[in-house]
Amino acid sequence: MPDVFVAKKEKSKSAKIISPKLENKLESGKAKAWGQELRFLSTIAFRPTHLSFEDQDSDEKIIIFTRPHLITNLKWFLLVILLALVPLFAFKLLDFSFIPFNFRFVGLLIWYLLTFTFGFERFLVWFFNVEIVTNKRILDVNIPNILFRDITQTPLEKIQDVTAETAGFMRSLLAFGDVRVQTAGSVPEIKFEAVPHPNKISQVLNDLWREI
Amino acid sequence: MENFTFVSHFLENPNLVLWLVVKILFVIGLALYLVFPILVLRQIKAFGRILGFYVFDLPLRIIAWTYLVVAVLAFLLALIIL
Repeated sequence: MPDVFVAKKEKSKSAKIISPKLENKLESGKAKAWGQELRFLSTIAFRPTHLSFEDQDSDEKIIIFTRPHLITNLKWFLLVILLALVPLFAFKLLDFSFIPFNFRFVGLLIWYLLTFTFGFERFLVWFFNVEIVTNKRILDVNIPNILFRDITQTPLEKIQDVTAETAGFMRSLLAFGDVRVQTAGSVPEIKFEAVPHPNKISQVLNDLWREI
Repeated sequence: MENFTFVSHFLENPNLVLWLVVKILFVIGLALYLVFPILVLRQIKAFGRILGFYVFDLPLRIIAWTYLVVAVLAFLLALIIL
């Protein structure tokens, strides 16, 4: 008996193919200078090798990987050094002889353990605070502290506006700043915070958006 | 009788009571603190999975394990020498 109704086969979702013109534009010039190789402390990489993410599609290519500029770690780094020096000065300036030696020793150990905890936590927050731009979407991983993580993603089609902002002496000097991406999705804005070369990132995002 | 001398010994020396309280606080604090390195290890593992940092999170994992070992040693040390 012939079938009266045969459901249409669902077309497989394919990745947005980037035109050769845009491909050349992305590959050429300054973007290439960011480097493709992703190292331990890299803050920006263009088409990084050795990088993937959990729900990455097989035809999805990572175009930009970025995280806040290294200099953003300076504040906590100096604080850790200061905290590490506190016991040295405290033992010289103050008299702790009323505290038994074993208590002094364990107290010192706890002090350095807490200082290390603070520094390591700050480093991890910086290390895992990444933004990834692929040929399909923008992925923003935020961790305000080690106990909390927030992963936002938005398809490139939902981008409405991209702005780059470099304000302040240090940011102008070291060429880093924020990139704000306004979206039509449930998350109104994705912010790439204190990333290197914000203008170039926004240019690439604009190019990708126009293509789509 | 022996227990009684132990207690009276403490009551006669208020300083000993103070240091005993400090010791208990140190040990409890360090025991609670052990949760933190475990949490850090779990987060590193989770992020390694999410972001596929299969090469880059190795030094972090080594540091996190060392951190856990040091925290355990600090707890045991406080338990023994205080």
